[in-house]
Amino acid sequence: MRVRLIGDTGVQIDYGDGPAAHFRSAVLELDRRIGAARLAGVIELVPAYNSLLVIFDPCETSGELLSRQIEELAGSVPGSGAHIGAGIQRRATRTWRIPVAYGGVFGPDLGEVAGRLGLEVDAVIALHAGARYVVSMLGFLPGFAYLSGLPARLAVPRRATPRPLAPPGIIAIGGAQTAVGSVAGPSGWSIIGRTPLRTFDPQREPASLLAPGDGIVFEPVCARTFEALSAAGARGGSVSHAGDLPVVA
Amino acid sequence: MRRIVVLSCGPATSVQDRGRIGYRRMGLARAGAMDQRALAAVNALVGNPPDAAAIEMAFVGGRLAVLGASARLAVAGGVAHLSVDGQARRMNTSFIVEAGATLTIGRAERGSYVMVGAEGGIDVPPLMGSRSCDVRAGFDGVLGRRLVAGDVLPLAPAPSVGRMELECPPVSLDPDAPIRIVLGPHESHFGAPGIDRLLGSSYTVSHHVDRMAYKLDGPAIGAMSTTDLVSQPILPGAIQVPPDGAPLVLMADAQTIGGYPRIATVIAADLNRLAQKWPGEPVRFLAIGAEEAQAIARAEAAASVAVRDVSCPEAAGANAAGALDGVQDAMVDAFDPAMWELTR
Repeated sequence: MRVRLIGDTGVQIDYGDGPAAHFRSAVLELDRRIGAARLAGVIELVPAYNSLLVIFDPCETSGELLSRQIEELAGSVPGSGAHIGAGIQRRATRTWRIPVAYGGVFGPDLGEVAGRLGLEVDAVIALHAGARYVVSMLGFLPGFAYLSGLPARLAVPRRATPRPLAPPGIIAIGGAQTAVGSVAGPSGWSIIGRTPLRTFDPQREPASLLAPGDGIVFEPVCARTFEALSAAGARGGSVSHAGDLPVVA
Repeated sequence: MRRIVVLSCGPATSVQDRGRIGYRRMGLARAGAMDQRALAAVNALVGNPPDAAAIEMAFVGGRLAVLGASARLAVAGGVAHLSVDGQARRMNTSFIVEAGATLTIGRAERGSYVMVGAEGGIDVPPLMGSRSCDVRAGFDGVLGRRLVAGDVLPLAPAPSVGRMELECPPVSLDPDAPIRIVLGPHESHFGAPGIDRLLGSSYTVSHHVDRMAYKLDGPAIGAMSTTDLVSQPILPGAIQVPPDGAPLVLMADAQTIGGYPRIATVIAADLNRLAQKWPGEPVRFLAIGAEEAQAIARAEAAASVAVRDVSCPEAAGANAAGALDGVQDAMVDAFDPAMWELTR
């Protein structure tokens, strides 16, 4: 673990390079501890794959003091030392069931992805929807969720030419990662499907449905179900929590 | 209801306040005024709290009409010619625009971002704690897009337009002063040759400039390591160096996550000054320590916008003649000092 000052308002904690899954639990545990400690001068915490950014107000604290406080809080986080990620009590997390219409107009790159992988389209869907994922971080666009847990068999390089404007709710593969898109925006990833779920809504509290650490499973739905769920969302129909597994109402 | 109607404006005109704080972990940019000093100045001049929203115009200016009732306005930041129905007005000085009159803001002659503040503040409903426009957040209304001719912006009710007019010093553009940076976090990717090149070269602002990033032209910075980084959180001010070696300084609308190595970060105070540079203007960097950078930030925050009264008749006459000698600040003591100490 390495603590660095960023400019005059940031402290970055790095857990080193490597597969995100090894560091995610350490990052999220440190995120939780710093948040709970309510350290003076801390404005925002931004967790990512293998690092955490603490944004502070230099009028309320100093980067040097804050670094020491963070090192103290991180001291006993497994993963801060040699045993990366080992032995962390998994937080009780939510798991979201996310409806996805795969292929066709919803996933224009599904055929190409299957071709590049030497798989049938149905096999790609089965593999993608058969895995369990964890939200590693939100970013790039508001509510855009980077997931870890993509089966290695499904990794495909990013597209040579990014799309200037992909629709909201894309389900996409970029390298060894997969993502649940939120708002419309540019994308260089291969789009294999779309969810009618509005994962980001500025009028909702919290605006982002998904949070780092949340579990994700995908549930293939047909075009009609997609349209029906979309319409329900447009009418203000909301998301309900069914026990541990929130679903779209 | 008092309102401002946009009669004409450039393509990069938007409503901005200090920015959207607390949602970076969800992927939301900070946004906010490109030159926070100009926002602080106009808010102080019209008597607003520092977090009130104003209109930001880039490079080309525009025309704004006041409707409903007269409104007190002020303009600061990049230097532009101002007039109200053909009568010249001064920058960095509040003035009343009568209902039905039009404020014309000329092209920025020096500096690039011009802030127009109004007493009461632009009163569009805030989204996620801010009235800053963010074109990538999927917001409805004027906070989700740039302003266009025909937009109507309500002003919050202001206590009165009856008080004195105020003046403050212009924001410093200081084009020759270096832009101060704190090295890191990935300076080791570039090694001493890369750092020496960044600090020893003169760069120029390229034509690829917007609220997200300013790309610089000049000597390319070569990476010593080709290791791909895992994407990390990033902040406005970060200097990314993509594989082509051309430094890219992230600005107010910077995305939250980035994968290019960052050789350094511009300190907050100097990011305001960098934002005011035009394409073709030179940029030199000066590395300072992290402690010094924080001390500068504290000094900037402690400094208030130094406003003074220019509303007495002699002062007004002197202003019209273009001289500041007649400006009177003796009245300041007669008022609540808190009014004059609007911290940035």
